Amino acid sequence: MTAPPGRERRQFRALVRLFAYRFFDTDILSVRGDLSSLLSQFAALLAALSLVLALATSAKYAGLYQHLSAGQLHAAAWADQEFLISTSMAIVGVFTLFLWDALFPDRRDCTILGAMPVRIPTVFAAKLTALGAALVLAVVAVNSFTGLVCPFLIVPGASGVLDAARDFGAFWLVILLASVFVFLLLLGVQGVALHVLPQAQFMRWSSVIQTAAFFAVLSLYFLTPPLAHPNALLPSNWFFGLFQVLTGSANTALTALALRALAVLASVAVVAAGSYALVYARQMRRTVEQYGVAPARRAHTPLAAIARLFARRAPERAILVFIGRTLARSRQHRLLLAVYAGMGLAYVFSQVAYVLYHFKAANYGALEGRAQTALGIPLILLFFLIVGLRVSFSIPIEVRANWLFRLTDPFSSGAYLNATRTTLLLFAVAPVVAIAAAVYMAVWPRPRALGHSAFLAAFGLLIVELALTGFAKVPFTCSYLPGKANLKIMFGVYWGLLIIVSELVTDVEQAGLRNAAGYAWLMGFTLLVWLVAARRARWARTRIPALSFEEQPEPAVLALGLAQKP
Amino acid sequence: MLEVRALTKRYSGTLAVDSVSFTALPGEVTGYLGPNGSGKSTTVKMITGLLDPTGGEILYRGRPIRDNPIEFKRILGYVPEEPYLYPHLTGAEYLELAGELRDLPAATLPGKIGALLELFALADDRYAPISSYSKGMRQKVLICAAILHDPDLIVLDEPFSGLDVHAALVLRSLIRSLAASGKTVLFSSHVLEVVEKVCHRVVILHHGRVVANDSIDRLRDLMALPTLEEIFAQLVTDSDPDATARRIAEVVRQ
Repeated sequence: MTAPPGRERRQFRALVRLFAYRFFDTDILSVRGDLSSLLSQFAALLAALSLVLALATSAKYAGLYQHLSAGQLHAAAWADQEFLISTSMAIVGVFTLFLWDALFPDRRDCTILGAMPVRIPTVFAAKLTALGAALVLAVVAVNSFTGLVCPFLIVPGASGVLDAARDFGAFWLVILLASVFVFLLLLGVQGVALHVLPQAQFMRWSSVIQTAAFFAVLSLYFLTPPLAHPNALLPSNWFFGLFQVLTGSANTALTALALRALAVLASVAVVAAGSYALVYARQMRRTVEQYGVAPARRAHTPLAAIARLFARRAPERAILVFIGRTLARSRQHRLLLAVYAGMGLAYVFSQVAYVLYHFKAANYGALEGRAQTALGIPLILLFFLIVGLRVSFSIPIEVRANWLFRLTDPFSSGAYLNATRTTLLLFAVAPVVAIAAAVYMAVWPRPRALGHSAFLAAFGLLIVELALTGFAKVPFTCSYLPGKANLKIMFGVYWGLLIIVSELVTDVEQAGLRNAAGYAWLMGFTLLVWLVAARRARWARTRIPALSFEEQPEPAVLALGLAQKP
Repeated sequence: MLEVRALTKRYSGTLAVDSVSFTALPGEVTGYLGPNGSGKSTTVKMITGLLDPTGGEILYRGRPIRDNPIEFKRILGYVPEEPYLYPHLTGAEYLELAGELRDLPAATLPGKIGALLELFALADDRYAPISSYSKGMRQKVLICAAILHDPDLIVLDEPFSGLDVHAALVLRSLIRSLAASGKTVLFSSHVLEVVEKVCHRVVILHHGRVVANDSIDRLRDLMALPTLEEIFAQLVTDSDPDATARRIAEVVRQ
């Protein structure tokens, strides 16, 4: 029996709304938290990036048109066309990976909707519509300024209204197709994995695939050299070729790239559609039958052994293990951490690419530049890893289950904070220092390698202490209040500070490593600052009345609510 | 002895608990009853320290619990009304977390957890994540976590929710034996048959106020009613249940 079209339309609309909201886990929000402020912050971040790019491009071309020849202008324009396309592709890739768990109907969707009188095609159509709407919103946000300005700047030789209209249309069409390609590619990867792997294995490997894809997207974006000659292996170059053809180029190499873009787009569309159709046919029942979390197989894990080694008291061990297990098993937290690690890697990759592409000769400047980059890389990674962990601690998991900690926190609050500090040292400082030390020992003389590793460890201690300033929570147990911190401003401030501090620190350290006295002064100063920060944190801890479990406390004065509508 | 004196909780102008007073004695099971929205869970949350009272006092062994909440929480075992647990942990891992947070000896903790899981028929699922547990299994984990540290005061808020017949019989017997060993048990439930069999005395709440506070036998004598269910219906039911049921059926048919 077919449902009346009116009822189906109503169901469809309700489901689109539901799925759109499910993209963001509203369970984590503070009682007075507002989802719309979270969404608007994300959109504003993307739009701000677009504005910066648009302004930079405008300024650049205002100068270029006066000073460069037509050939030089074309070369610059090619690089910018490819850059704008690859930026959109990378951002859509990251965005799609954010929505990774929401790409297909999950266990909750299947359990709840399976019992409802809703046709499965309606569920899937609503899911696809919600995903499509989210994708279009992301593409529009990230091109909100560049899409209005750049099409008229980056196509040299265009003249007249018709050319302008053609370039504008071509820009948006290519950006949209390139974004759809990335989206469908990732959708297809998950769809194929869903069918190839048994459900329990899929649960285990899905997050690994997600994280790997995340790093692949970032690596591809940041390590791709500036476009001089189109490369048939790079996806962004295919769509660059398509843009060239659409804006009037008759170059055969570019035409081949354009054809490749259309062919791969069609291929990933077929794979994604096929996997979606197969999921539609068999996955809903299969999903309901299976566990929602990858099962743990062993009673004793290395994590418990590590906790026993580094935490003296039982509550401290408990928190350390809880943090480790949450990071290892919660996709949301792991992805957040991957985002921060990815940002760190992005900066590192851009530095590596700069050295690789700008210091080709083995002269003194090249060696100095490479040494400075090598010194700066672990500092940057350390910073982002610690900040990523600290931010992920603020995002709760099953916030209503925090009653267990609330019942026990008064007699263990010191242990909780110690465990949080130990976690940052174990999961961020120790691995980065160990890996960096191994690499330095392989490429540098031993004293220099050991000296820098020791400085890195001291710097790590200091950042950990600073990161925990004012943190009076058990990680993952306090509700989250979107909009508490102004992300746009804070992100810019921290990023700017980081760049300045890392440049300064590596400069000073490089100078310090050349003589023992300079190095001793540097280490002494760093350890002194760390000591002061640690003392200050210990003093502040004695003044904390209780750990915080609700981001927004109850108001001191309760309103009677008499003016509220019934 | 747990003593609640004139306990009051107000939410944005709404009085949820209105000057509630009662005493729960060691060696006894005190039933805490009332219809939905009567303020039972709010009272329980204030006793466990999850909510701050707007007014009144809670005393344990004659001392206000706010004087030393640390010590009070050490001797408190609590089964909350809703089975909120960390879904990414396994049953054994959750109990390990609870045990370590309560600073139980590391040497005996694994054995104790293993034995409890075995006795509550959770041994086969001990390494499965809680997200895959049924409601009854989650409830068993909560009960294990509440008694793991051998508390003196046990607060049970709807502990039978989702339990199968065997587990319910075990729990009923466990509550009795915990009280017999001198512990103070405060037991909130809607299952009046169980309350009648397990509790020594009951406190009945209606619209946030205590409407009865006595032993079940005395309430039977005073109200000349044979069962707790009838006593409860007379004290707190605002409308005739049969008439309400008939009206519901009519609405459904419309």
